[in-house]
Amino acid sequence: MALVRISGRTGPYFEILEARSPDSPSEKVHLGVRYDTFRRYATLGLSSAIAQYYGIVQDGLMDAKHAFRGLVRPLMHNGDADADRTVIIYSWRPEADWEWRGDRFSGQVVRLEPPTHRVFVVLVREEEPGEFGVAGSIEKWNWIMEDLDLSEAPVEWGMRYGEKLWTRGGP
Amino acid sequence: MKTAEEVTNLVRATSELAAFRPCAFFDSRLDCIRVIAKDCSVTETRVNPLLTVLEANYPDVAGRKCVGFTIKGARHFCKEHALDLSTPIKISDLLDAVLKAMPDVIVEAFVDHVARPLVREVKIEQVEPAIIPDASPQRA
Repeated sequence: MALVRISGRTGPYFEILEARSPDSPSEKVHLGVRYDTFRRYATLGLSSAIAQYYGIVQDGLMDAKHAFRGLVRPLMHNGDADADRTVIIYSWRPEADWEWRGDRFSGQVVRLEPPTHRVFVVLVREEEPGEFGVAGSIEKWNWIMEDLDLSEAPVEWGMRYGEKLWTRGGP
Repeated sequence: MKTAEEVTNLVRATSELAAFRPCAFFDSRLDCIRVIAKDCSVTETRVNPLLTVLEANYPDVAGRKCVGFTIKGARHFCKEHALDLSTPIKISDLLDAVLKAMPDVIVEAFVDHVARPLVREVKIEQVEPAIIPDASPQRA
């Protein structure tokens, strides 16, 4: 599947990526990484997270195996006490992991074998598509232990998330 | 897939990229407090719906495995414990509140034997207020 990416600042977004729709994995939506989100990673010096964005999220989001909706935990946002329900979680097992080694100037990114029994998740806050047609903001990405029964899904996904939306190539 | 050199160049080209320093801050968009002691690849392991531990995926032989933690539902949590998220919060006050809110053997062991020594070692003294304003059109 062709990957569409709009690099460079577009409104509040640092970059806009194509992803599978929460409603159907055969449909596509555009998701944005907010400039402020990326800036926060940068100003905190979280180079490994930035490396994972470029190495895993940017090219791999379309490879998501599962999508879930809703975080089962308190989350208030913009005065909405039920903001946990508008978070989409994509999960899959990428081919590699990436980590920054060394200092800011002489360090470099190393490609690593993915940690065993882990899956990668990307959290997206759903939004009403505005002038840029973005259906959600990519807020965070990280590794989680893999579920014992559902391959490429986070452990205890049934307790963590409100509902499973879809699984590609399986139940 | 990109090469390590390509990813390195992209990271280096990131504007405003600073040197890492251990930090604790309020993430307003996901309503949580993040405490991060090391810049590395981590696995987030849920202790309970409010507390998640960050474990290094490739720890040094002599290094620690726990490199941070997250307290979720921070707005409600801080309100319940009279902590003001709009100003810096002492990390010791935050951890005291965690113990009070979650009187549990596992949480107590984590706070006293992992979290407190961790923040002491890397000299994290306070939680910084939100640095990103809340402002996004939410889905109805």
